Amino acid sequence: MSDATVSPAESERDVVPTRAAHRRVSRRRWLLVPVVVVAGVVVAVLAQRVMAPHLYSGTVLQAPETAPSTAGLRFADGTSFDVGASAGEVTVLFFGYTNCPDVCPTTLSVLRRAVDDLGGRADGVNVVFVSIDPERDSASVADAYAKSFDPRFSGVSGASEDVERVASLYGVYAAAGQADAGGFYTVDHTATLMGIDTSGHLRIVWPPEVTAEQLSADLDALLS
Amino acid sequence: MNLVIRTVLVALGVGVVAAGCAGSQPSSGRLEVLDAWTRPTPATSGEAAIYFVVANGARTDDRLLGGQSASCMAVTVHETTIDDGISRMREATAEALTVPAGGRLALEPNGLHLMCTGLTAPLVAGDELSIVVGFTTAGRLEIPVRVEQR
Repeated sequence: MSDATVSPAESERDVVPTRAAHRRVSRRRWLLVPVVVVAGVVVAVLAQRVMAPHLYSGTVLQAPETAPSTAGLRFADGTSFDVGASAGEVTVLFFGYTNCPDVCPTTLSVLRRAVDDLGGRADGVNVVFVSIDPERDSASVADAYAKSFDPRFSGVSGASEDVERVASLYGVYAAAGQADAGGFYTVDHTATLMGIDTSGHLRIVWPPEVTAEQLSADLDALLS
Repeated sequence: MNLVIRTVLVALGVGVVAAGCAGSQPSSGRLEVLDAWTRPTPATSGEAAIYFVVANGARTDDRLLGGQSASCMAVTVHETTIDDGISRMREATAEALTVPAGGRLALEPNGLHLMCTGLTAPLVAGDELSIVVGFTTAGRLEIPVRVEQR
């Protein structure tokens, strides 16, 4: 047998590789810790998103009731607008008037962007502009106005007493101002957006200042 | 590079950047009207709300008085207010139309706007109309208004 004793150089070589190998394994194991932590956080966030209910930007009504009847309001083609017949769709009602220079175009533009953001899901949303100024807005005028913002929108109107009744059922205030020399007048009115869900319940009310992003997210949740 | 030259160049660079940042504060020495726009109008409507930003680079406060346009029968300054979901439009008060020296006044949706009534023709996206806006000190400024779908 050759010399049993190992020279210091050789013994070093035997020990060092083992320590290096041990360090390599330890480093890999250490790497697992942050990976596991990150994975854990990702799973937790995803789970929370999937399981947590959507937080609506609008005011969700505590005890949603069947949306009040819109009997008496008509589309441009003369057919009745019956909000109860839109089951399966989400209906957004906006009460305004076509001679409104600021709030109505602004709100309808926001609605247009919100519906656009829904992409294919926009098919399930029915936007109806209800005129609270039947003196100047016939159903054709209201409809042309609504469609000038988006061809998918509809406008409706009716006889004064029908418009007043529906407005009051929805808690919508409307008061015409003094006419100027040219006969032009503005109308103070409730400019909130009303959301009716797929089961025909008046479910949510959005303030006029709602953004397209907030509206789009809420509509998406209502469609689900 | 020589240290002196390097220092001068750095100082120049800092000065340019600072001047650029200062550009966000009205400093042109005069009052300007910026980004004037309005939305396209449906055929049945005879009104349009015109929006813009007034940047007062002058040393004195100023006030927006009103406007005129060949495209409108009348132009009034209006203010929209929304309280508890109810929107109202009234003629703007003089206080609301003050543009402080070195400050801005924004006419924007759901707020202050120039209301143009009796439009001579519907406004189409891409069009431009001309209005004259009056101020107590800056006088009458003619500005182009772009018709845009915003």
